[in-house]
Amino acid sequence: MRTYLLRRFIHVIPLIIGVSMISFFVLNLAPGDYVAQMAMNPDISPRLLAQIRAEFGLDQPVWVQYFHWLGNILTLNFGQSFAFRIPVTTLIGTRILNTLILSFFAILFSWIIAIPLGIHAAIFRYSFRDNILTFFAFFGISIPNFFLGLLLLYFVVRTGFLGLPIGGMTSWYYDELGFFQRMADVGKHLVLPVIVLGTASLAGLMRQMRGQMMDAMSQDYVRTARSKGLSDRVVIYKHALRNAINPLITIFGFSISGLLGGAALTEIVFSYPGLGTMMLEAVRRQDLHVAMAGLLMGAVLLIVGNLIADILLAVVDPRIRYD
Amino acid sequence: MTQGTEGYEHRELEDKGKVMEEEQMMRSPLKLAWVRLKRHRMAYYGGIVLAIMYFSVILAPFYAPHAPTDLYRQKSYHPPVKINIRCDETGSLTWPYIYNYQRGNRFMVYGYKDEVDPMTGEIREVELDLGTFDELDRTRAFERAEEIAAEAGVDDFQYFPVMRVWVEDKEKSPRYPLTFFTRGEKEYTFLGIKSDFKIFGLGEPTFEDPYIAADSARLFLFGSDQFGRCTFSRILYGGRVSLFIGFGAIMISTAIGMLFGGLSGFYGGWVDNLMMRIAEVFMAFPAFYLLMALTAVLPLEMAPATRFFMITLILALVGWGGLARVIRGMVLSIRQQDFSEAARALGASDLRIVVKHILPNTLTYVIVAATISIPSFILMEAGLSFIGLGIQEPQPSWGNMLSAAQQIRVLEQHPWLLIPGFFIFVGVLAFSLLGDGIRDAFDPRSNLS
Repeated sequence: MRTYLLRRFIHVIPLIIGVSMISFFVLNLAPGDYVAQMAMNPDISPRLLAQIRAEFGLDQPVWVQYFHWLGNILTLNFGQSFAFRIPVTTLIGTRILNTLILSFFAILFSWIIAIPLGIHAAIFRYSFRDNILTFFAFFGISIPNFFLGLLLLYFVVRTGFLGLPIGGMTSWYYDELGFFQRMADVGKHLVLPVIVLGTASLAGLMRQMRGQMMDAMSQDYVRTARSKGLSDRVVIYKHALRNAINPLITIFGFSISGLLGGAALTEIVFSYPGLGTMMLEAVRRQDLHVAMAGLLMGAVLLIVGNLIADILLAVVDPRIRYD
Repeated sequence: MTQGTEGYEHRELEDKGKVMEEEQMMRSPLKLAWVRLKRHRMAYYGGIVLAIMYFSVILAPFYAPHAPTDLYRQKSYHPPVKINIRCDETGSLTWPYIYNYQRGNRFMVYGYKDEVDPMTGEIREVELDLGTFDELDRTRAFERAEEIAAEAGVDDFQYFPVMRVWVEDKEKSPRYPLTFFTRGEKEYTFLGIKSDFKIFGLGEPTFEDPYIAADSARLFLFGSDQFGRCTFSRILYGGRVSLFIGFGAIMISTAIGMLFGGLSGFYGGWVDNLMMRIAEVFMAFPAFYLLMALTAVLPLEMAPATRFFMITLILALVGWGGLARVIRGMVLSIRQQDFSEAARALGASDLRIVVKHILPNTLTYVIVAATISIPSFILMEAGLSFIGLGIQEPQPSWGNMLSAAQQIRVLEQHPWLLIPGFFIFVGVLAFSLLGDGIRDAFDPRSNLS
């Protein structure tokens, strides 16, 4: 296991370098740069512009800029945000945390609902209930994240449902609240984004669970268990389910990727201060270092997610050994 | 994505023997898949819905009452018009017609009533919310508020305007009948032919409209947006972008994926290693982040057609990695088989062996994978346009039309701005169902037969 982890870790390094290289050159393909946008302002003299450009290192060729940037990364210095004039690390830290919080609850939400529903659909396959669940699964897969978000927002604004807030992550009086009130406040803000983000993965997951469960239930060992006279309960939960759930762990890794992508749009709709909103603002402003950090961190989260899934799989499935 | 290889309704077991016989008579696997697909009910309906959608958006100029960029600034945020099928005076059925809409007010009515408290015997005044009504004329408004109050049986009432709304003008406006197979106001060119034919539109009013031409009635079936552009027409034209961009992207990304995966698997060794590392780098990005970065690079002043093409290309660039990996795995085993050895012995070039002999063997998988991933491309385009990085105004796409609904206060009062979202939903749903059916149809293990 240890050698496997080490090997995976070494494998990740060229991947990250590749990601950073592509990101850097893509972002530099844009006509003009952050300073060019400042030049629209007639109050800023050309000399000042040149000075700022030199300060950010934007006057140098792209590859020089890249290696300069890469050198800084090795010391965990992600550079400065052009727009806010603060180090990117201070900006991005809370954003990553916020996105992780959102994704975590979305995953929790979708798994808690999807697994029982999937099992249920498999047990009652081709019945009316199963058809209804299938229909909802397709509904969840097909509805665009941001559209579902807008629908929910409209619903909440019109009905004032539960007094749910319509955007952001905290209320304006957040600073005056005590610890538990703060938790409740953030929780309230999380409800809608979590539902929206969870729905898509919920549907896919439910279908997966149903398929795997049906496969497992047609296996010989299930028939053996039944013929031994074991109760339905034991057969389903002890024999079939344990074998059916393994493939879902692999899917867990992929779902992290889907969540991160989907999270960006959900965050934007709910103006939730996560990595996705930051990324959008950064690419719009051509805030190079922030956008770079966003792309890089997104990729890192994705790679780590897949790694976690692989490790989990080895933990739950005794047949898998990474040696 | 959905998985699971189980089939749908297949309870007619007694028919099974007969069906199997039929199937054995057809030789081509494609034909076989077609037969199985037709038996997949949901996929069949999905296919029909898609056919209707594509048909309508291609023939958009015939169906759309307005051009997608026609502005009627006086008619901003116009609600969907009400098509009356009953005559107002007599209440009997009549040819469908609409009224012109004018700006009126929405009034809120409160009623007051004295009530005796059963416990204390005191007399209290209670306030009742009697709802709202829309009215053009101030004196009429008073009469209507009075009526409502009388109906509720309150002693006193109060009413006041709360917001400006569009109201059917039944007093001064003429009736505009709906007409079919008619002529539009403006000419358009379709396939190089100039025409003003419309499937439906508004006919001559019953008498001359007292309002100036710019204020005359418009057939806004799904309402209008901030600039008074017809949502219905924009959905039809925008559908061209939304429905075809998925197709274009899947074609390009499949081509890249097949060629890249094919060559990688064919050559093996360090070439394979290097090419797969490159594919992995592209797969390591969260797709939407990369899309944001790539589309933000496009200059805003780009011509709409170029932009459409560039966005298609970008979508394809983000999506080819997964396919390339699977194709490579398949090619690794196929290249060992006798027929590829034979082709090599005959002196065929490497590229020829890959393209002509090896890749066709992966086609079944590719067709299935492609249909299944079209919806995700449609969703990605819609998402990009929604955040303003995809198709740019004034060109419509279902995604960028929804961005008008992003300001919650605007959305609250003009819910019809959400309509394009339903079209994305239905399109994606239909593609998902069809993709599911195609996968089952090509899957020899599925029991669709």
